[in-house]
Amino acid sequence: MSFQTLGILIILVLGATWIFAGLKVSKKVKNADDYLVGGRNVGVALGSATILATWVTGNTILAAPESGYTYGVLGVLGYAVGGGIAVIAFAPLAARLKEILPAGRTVGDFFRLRFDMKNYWLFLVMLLIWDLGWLLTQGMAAGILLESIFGIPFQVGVIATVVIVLAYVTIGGMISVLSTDFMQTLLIMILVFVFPALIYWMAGPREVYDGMLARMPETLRLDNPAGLLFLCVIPLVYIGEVFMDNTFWQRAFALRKSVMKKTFTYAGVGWIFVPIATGTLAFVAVGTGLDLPGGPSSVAPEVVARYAGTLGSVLFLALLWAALASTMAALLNGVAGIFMNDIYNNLINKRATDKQVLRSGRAATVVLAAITIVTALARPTTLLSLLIWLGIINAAYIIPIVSGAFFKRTNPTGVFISVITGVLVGLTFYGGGALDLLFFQIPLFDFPDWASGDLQGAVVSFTISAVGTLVSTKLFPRPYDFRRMRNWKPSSVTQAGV
Amino acid sequence: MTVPYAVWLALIGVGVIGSLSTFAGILIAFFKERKSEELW
Repeated sequence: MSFQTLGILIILVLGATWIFAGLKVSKKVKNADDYLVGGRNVGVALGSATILATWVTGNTILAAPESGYTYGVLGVLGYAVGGGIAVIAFAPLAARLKEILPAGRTVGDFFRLRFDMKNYWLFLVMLLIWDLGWLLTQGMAAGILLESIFGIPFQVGVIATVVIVLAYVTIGGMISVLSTDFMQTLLIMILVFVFPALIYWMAGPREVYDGMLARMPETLRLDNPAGLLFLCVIPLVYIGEVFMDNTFWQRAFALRKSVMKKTFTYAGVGWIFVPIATGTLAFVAVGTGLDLPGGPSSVAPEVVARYAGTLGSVLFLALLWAALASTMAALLNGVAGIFMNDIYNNLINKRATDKQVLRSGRAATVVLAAITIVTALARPTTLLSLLIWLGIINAAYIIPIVSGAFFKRTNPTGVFISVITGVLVGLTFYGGGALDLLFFQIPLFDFPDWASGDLQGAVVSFTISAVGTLVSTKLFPRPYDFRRMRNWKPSSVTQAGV
Repeated sequence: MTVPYAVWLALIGVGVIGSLSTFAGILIAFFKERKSEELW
């Protein structure tokens, strides 16, 4: 059997399994709440698995080794600790959300009820750009992966992946995602254990370490300034992503109250091991002087191919594809949730019945999948830049979200102005003194190199929005009654009750 | 400052053992919660 046939076969087998599992549990979906937040009674096992499956993306498998190859030990630590801390930091916020907004379905519900309409719409626009951008990167990554490893045409790879995910997400929503995420997480964790264990067994850890010391000693150093900056700032970027991303909010609303903190903490700690395990594969390439014709981004597949052969490469594809598909499924459901809950139910049809809301969610999922395919097929090159650019916006929302959830005097206008100011100044630092609006730049200043870049932009954006939110709240407090959120019910549920 | 061999090896060990422990932890939680009908 050829390598390509084996690859297609494994994609078909995995895809059929996930569709079967997703559709089997989809009968449990009785209303919009089931579709969006899985019935609100999810336990530790399915909860931690779905958080892990969502947060372990194709990037975690491929970019962590690249980071390890480029920055060495500091790169692996930065990647792992940053992403893990973000999930762990979300645990107290998730517990608080369950308490103050027990009937919430999306992050949009929080912004609409806690702040005001100007904050709500500003946030929704930012969120949709962010989540759609993520969705597209997963679609593109699936196409590129299948093309580069198995020679499957890019278009076929994109369409096959999106259609398989769509097949189980459309009908079952979060209920199906919980079921498939559980299987995908188990597959990911076992393969992530097997590869480094096997490869270090074969390559010999002492030989790898000595090779690193001889060939690229800087990868073993802990005082590399670029690596240290990465280690210190990257948690901020990841925390911003997690706190803003609707997929995490949906999981907070989906979990049982008694297991909330435990589940997010467990998933955060579990996540740390994934980039450590995959990232340390890069050390084998450094230590043995492995040739990387595809550049540092191909370091993990190259190491696997060298030591684990054809079977290893096929299993590595399964690992990557599971990571991509699970993230795509969560995003499809998360973005569809914004459309069905925030745009359809809160804007277009405020008196919609639960059935109508559920139907709009399924329709939105199909439309989003079509948008993902069409846009991914165009291979937009600015997509990665867009996500880095949006990291500056993510950072600006951390303190407003925390302050709004925990303090009753947070000033909504102060939040609005602080976020906009933080983002604009952050983008100016990102552009080295020129306000970077992605498609064009407005030159304003000339900053030195050390003050320019995405990490610097995120720090500035976070600081300004944090100081602005806290100072405006201190000077002009706006009391808020949290009972408004506690007593709130989605209008479709109220309609159904009538 | 260069990472000593023992620390470097421990990092690899943490990744490998941690992944396996997470896998086992999720499975154990699954069977426990299924038994007590608390999966979802």
